[in-house]
Amino acid sequence: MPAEIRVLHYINQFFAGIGGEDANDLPIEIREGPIGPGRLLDQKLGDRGTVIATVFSGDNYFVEEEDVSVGKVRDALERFKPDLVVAGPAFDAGRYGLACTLVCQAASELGIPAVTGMVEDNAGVLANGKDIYTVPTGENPADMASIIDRMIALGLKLASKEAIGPAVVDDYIPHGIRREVIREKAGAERAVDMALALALGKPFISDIKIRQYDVVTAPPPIQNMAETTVALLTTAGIVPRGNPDGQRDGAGARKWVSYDIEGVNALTLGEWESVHSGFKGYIYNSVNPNYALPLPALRGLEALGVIKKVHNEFFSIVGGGCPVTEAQQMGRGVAERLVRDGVQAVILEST
Amino acid sequence: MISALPSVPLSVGAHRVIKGVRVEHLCGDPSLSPEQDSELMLRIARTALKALQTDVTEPTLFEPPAQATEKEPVHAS
Repeated sequence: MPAEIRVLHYINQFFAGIGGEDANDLPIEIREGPIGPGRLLDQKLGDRGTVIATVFSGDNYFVEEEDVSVGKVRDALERFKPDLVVAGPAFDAGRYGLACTLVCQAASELGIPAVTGMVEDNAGVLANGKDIYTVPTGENPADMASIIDRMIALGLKLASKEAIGPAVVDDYIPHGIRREVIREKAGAERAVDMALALALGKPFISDIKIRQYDVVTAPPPIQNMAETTVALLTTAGIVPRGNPDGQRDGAGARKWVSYDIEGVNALTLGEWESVHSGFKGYIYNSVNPNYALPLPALRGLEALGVIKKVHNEFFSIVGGGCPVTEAQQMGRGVAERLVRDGVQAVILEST
Repeated sequence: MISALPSVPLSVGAHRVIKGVRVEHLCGDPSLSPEQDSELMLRIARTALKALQTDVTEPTLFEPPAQATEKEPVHAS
């Protein structure tokens, strides 16, 4: 490893100081030197390294124009030839997290070590987590300084080509890979130690920590669509204007709700709005709320007899930053209602 | 499910994923004329119904056709 390493940093439009959700379609840009949290990164690197360039982009732009964005990241990597890429941290921001992991993947493909940071159930980890090194973080940007310290520690180790140890030792989100190691105590003894620690409420580290998602078998295909009642479920947080049920994202506040659409051919701007906080809602709120659930199209297909019926109520969830456990609980609730009401198919609209 | 970012649901095992337009306008496109926009929404909805009628064993992406492949009887006069 060179005495002082050259670091390329990726951040989003918010941390670059350009704007929030209003600027999330900002095309990707490249600047020399550090910006925003990159200054802290540069400062903390001290004489160990320098942030030579910053790549930043709007969150929506990066993931929606993925090929263009990744191409530009690759160009920047070839131009600046960094020894290490640092992306984020992205905390619980899903599109930012996804962009960070794509930046890290692009770097890895060119043989450049890369590190990012985000919460364990960020969309980026779900999509690409097994291929990259991600420092697990909380949701609070006030922890930026300590997270940057941890990303530097892992990043310098990666840049020095040192062997990376287990996830719990070297501070990254597990890849689900197990390697053989020699431990001081035999498995039986460790198992008893862990059982005792568990019983006494003491902390211990399990030998196995593999992140897993439930494997759900695909439901069989619908045989007779003309006899099928189809329900709509949107995660865009579509609610009656004024949000009478107080729907919002955030821990403890989230719930699924359903609204009557019997005889309604299309949602109107005067009566419906999106209360999702994770993206610009103005198109749903000032152009067409039906973009969040294609009710007019389904009514057309119902009239043609392609489907038997659109279910009399649609389901609405505010999807932003939703942990897997909450999503599972809400999914069960909606599924029970659908079964009770004799609905055979559901189209989920996910923003 | 209709998703603006299909790589995410496909990576966690969603079975039938339909490619939507964008996060801010998932099932349509405000830059199109009202007729083209309705037609785009219909294509997405029809693709969703096609997905529901397709046997899948692994996460599968369904992309709405670039333009209507059949004339909608509803437009016939």
